[in-house]
Amino acid sequence: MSVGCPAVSVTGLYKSFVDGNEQVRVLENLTFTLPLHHSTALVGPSGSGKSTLINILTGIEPPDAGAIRLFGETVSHSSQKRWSQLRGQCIATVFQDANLMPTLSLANNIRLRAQLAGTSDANAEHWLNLLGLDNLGHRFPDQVSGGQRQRAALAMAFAMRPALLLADEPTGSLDVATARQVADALFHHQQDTGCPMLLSTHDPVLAARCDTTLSLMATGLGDP
Amino acid sequence: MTGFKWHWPGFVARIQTPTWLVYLLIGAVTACSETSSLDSSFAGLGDIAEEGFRQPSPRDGIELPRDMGPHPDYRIEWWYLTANLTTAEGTPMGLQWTQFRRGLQPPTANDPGTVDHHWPLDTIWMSHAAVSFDGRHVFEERLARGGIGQTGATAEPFHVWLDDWQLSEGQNGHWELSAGAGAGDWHYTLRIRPQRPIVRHGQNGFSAKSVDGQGSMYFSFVDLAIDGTVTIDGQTLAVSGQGWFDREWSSQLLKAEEGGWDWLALHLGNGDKVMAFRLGQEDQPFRSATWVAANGEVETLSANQFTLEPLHRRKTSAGTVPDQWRLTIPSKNIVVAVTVPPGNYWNDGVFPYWESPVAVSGSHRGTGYLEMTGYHR
Amino acid sequence: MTLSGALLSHYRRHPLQFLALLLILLIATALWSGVWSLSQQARASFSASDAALAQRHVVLRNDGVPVGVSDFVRLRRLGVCVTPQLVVERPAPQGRLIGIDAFSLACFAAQSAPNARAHPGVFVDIGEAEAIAGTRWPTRLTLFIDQTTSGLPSDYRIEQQPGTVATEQLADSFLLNLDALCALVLLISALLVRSVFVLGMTQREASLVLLQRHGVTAQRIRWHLVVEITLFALLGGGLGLVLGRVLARGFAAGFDQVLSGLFSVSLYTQTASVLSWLAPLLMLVIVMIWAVADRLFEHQPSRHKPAQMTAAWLTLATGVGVVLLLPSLTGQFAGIALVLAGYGWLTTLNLPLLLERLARRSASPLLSWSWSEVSAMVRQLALPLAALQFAAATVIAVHALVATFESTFYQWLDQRLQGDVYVQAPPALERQTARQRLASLASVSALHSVLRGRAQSRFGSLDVMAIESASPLLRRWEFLSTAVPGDTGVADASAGTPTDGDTVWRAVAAGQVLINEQLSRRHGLAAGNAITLTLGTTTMTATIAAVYADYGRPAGEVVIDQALWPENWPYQSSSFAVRLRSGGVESFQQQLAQAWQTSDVKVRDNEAIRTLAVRIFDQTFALTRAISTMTLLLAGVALLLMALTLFASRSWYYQLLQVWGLSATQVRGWLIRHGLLLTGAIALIALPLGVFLTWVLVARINPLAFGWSLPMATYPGFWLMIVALSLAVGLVLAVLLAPQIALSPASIRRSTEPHHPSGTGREKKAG
Repeated sequence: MSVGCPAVSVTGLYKSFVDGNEQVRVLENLTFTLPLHHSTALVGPSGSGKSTLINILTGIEPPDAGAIRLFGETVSHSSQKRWSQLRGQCIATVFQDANLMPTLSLANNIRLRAQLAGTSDANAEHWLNLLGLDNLGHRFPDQVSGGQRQRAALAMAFAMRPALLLADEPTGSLDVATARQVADALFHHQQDTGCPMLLSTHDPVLAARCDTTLSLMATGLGDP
Repeated sequence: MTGFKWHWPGFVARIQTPTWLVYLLIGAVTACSETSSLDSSFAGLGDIAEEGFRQPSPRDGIELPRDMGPHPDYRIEWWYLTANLTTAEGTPMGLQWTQFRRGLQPPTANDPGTVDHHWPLDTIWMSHAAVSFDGRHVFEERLARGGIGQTGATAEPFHVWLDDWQLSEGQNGHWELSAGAGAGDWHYTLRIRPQRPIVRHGQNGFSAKSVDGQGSMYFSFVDLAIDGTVTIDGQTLAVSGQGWFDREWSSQLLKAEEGGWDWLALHLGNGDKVMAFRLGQEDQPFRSATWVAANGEVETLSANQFTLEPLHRRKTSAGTVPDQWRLTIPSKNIVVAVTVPPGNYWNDGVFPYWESPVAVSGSHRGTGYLEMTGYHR
Repeated sequence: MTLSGALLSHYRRHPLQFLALLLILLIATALWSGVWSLSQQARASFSASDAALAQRHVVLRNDGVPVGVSDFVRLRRLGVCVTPQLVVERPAPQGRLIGIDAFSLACFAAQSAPNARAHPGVFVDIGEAEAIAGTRWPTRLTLFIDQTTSGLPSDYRIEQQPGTVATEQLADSFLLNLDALCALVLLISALLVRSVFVLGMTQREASLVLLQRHGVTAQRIRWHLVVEITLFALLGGGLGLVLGRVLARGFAAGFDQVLSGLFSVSLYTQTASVLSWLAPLLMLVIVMIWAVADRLFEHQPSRHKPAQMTAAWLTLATGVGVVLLLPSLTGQFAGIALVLAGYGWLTTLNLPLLLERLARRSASPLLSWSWSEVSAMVRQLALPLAALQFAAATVIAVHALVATFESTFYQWLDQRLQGDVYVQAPPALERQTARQRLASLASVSALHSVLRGRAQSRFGSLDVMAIESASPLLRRWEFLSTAVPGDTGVADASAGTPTDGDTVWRAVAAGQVLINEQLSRRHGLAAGNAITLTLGTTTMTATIAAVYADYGRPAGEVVIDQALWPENWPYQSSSFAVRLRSGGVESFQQQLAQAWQTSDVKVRDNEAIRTLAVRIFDQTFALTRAISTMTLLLAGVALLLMALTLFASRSWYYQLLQVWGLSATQVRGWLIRHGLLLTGAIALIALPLGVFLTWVLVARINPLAFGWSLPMATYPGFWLMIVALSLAVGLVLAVLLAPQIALSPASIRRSTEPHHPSGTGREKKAG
């Protein structure tokens, strides 16, 4: 991983699905870079391929064509093993929901994520406090509110000290006030650590808070 | 006599009867009968030679006391008693005892005799006892295999037995009969005194049973004086009256299609006795009769010398039976109606038949017995 | 869309669940109705034979001479209602033949004559039976008497047919065994049905609430659900019934042999009546409705955990109490049912708690997750796991019973079947002469003479076996308890302590006697007690030297030395056990025929007897074993099916681990570990239950049902097998579930949408 390189560099990315007899092109010749220390909003209508792009960037689905470089490392053809390493240690992913192990307390979820990332000093309380979840560490995910759950998911992501944070509609299921708290936490973290962040969202206000915007069209043509 | 014996094969034919007994009997007959096919043995009176068994003939003659005993060379035989009795109060009572012998195979020279572990199945014996009293009719049946002593018959002394039922010669030439349904139920003990010599039916005791000359050996004690006790319905009654005793043996079996059998034996008020039977189809039955005068004169009557016609029929639980007959013997000036008293007189054994006392009215009055087979459904 | 359509659409979306429910119902019904139909047939057969042999009282001669034809004739001539029965013991494959005299049955009219169709080929005319037996096979003549008959001469007596009572008990316990198996299968079926239904309810909770919001009354929804479950029961159950019939027919042949071998009853194959089809189906529907009733009529079950725990403990304690205190077979089985229920309940309550404690104690968060994930699985699969547990425990217990019985029985057979052959003494030859000539044969290495008869005692009539106590062929006898001072010189009367046989035999030679366990148990007779016997006209009182095991039949038996046999008392049978020096049985037979100057030498090969005895007992238990194994199979299959459908709600968390950087292989490894842990733990927990059940069968039920007990033995080798089998189920489970944990865009999309149906896997804390 070379310092100075963009966090993400994507060139000529193609991805299509077969839906019935029809081939649906989701991403077509997509090229973009995510600079270091920047937050980027990923916007576009439903079905424009936002989640697909995040999946490709986490190695969960392979692209049909195109080159992907993470911090200068070409990962387009990396093995699943390498992708597991990347997901475990470098890339934090936050989904709209179900980011936590329901059988573990919030603190233990954070410790588990840190353990998987190989971060030894998993001070769960620290991260929980940081996200305003003081004294909630012993609670289980179903014992806290949706907003608290999502902040706990962020705490998990932060605790692994990621090199790249990918958030897929992290506030999508929250009310406005809670969504704002979660978004604040994300941007504070981004500003504090400089960790590059790709934030997929429908919310224009949220998108506007990002440094740059990557807009996916329904046609699949990307923004230059 | 009784047509019942002619019918004996009939129960074997009724194999659908789901009784254990019949099942076994069929098995036994099939296993033991010398004739390979049961059907053929019943096919016709004249057609089959009962292999191994003797055929009756007029030449045989009848001799006492020899012929009171069994005839193992013949396939079938019976000892048959009917009695028309009255109680001390004068209530009429009918009473029947019959013992049948049915040979499954003819006797062999090397009979092992009775051995304490041997259970031969060469002969089946059957005994029936019935009492008709006060509109009621009770019937009991016993069966046993021959050859082990449980049942049998001897001529001298005269003795016919099955289990504890027996007819035996006692002192003074009297016979003693006891039978019944066992302790606590009905039973009877009778003293029987023959009043006249035997009557040989047909031709010297050979009684034809079909137009083509088949028949049986048949003789009767037509006049028996009877007294004794009958226990029924919890009371023991002293009874007395007159009876009729038949001995008959043969090796031939009734043609299956001959089905029905109507037989009656009458004690007429003037001391005359009449035996008449009808055998076979309703339209063309074979008929024969014997008239015995009070003075002992005997006359065998052929079909054209008497008539025997049903006058009335009775519906019963098991079929419709003629319950009144018209008997005419023109040469004897006999024109009588023979009537069954009210009641149901089925002997409901392995194969059922009708056996009832009758009253005679018309030119003569009297009593008697009527037996009918082939009506049960 | 109609309401029914809306409700049923659930199964359109979850066809696997539909199939699982149907399959579980089908297998459960098949097994249950199969066993039920067999037990009904057996019951009918027993009552048919009861009716046939209702005249169970027999006539015996007071002089001890076996009854013969002349006795029958004499009694009949006296008007006594007796009927003969000649039993011919033919070796397999023809089997036992019973000769009867149909002519003399009529006086038993109160009990209808046996139906010929019910006993094809078993009953024949007594004359035919006698002819078939000839001199080839041993026969036994019995005269049955109508007990109401009076007038029996004084030189005869009426007695209950030997062994009759015990045969009844044996038959009853046999039927009870079947019923208990029926009930177990039904219980397991109910658990499984319930688990599937509860799953469906949980998954449909949201849509049910929605329907109620749209104005559909709860009452209507409930009705629809009742109709739905009934339809399921009818569909799955109907197919299962057909399969059950096939199953029953498959079992019937072996079963028939058991019945005829043990109880002289032929399986009465009924024509299937409408009722015989409807009854099990109706039962199934009722059980199903019962299984789901609380979920139907109480939308959110308010489960109070401490109360449940108390109830479970109470159930278990009551069950154990009943087993320990109630000396009846029904009580034992009821107790077992309570123990099963309590134990299963406690397991499903406590196992998750234990796993959660392990989760809390784990230093590693990943390990902590692992424990807690298994705990969630246990909660989810509680019912099928309990079913598996019951089945495993039953299989363990049945195996232990059968194995113990087999080894004990074989040991006993070996001890009893001393020598190589068994020779019936020739009736024509004086016994001592016969013995001397036999002993003088070159091929005879050792021999032992046995006399048998029937003695009177205050316990009724007893079989007496007179032996030569000095014979070397008796050295291998083992005794359950003895009162004879052993070589140590200390009196040892404690049960189950085998003592040196020689001292016992010396005591017998000195005039003491031995009694069998049945006699000892039935009348509380112990070694050291005295027993008074009347042998013909001789009355003697002797000390009981020892109690021996006797598994052959339930009758009481006394062993005495031949010196005690009264001179004038005729024996029922006289025979010799012979150890051969050399040469085959055939040459021995030839020599013996020469020595005894008779062609009628009955030599029985002990090996053949052993084989026959072993086969009969094998058959008896083959059925029990087969049914319990099939129950285990049912529970295993059900668990797999349930896990397959339920795992949908847990698979995401395995995928999440992959999102967090664990490789697919690593996560699969965890899944395998979880599968193994799940079923392995259940099997391990089933072990104590299995041991307890074994103990109940061996030490409680057996003495009640058969009159003798068995040594308690455990078979850790078999436990290992059961655990291994369970682990295999766990492994198969993991392999079957593996596709569900593959990380895919689709599953991410499904799972990360809010309100996806995945359960939390954790119970909400009360309050």
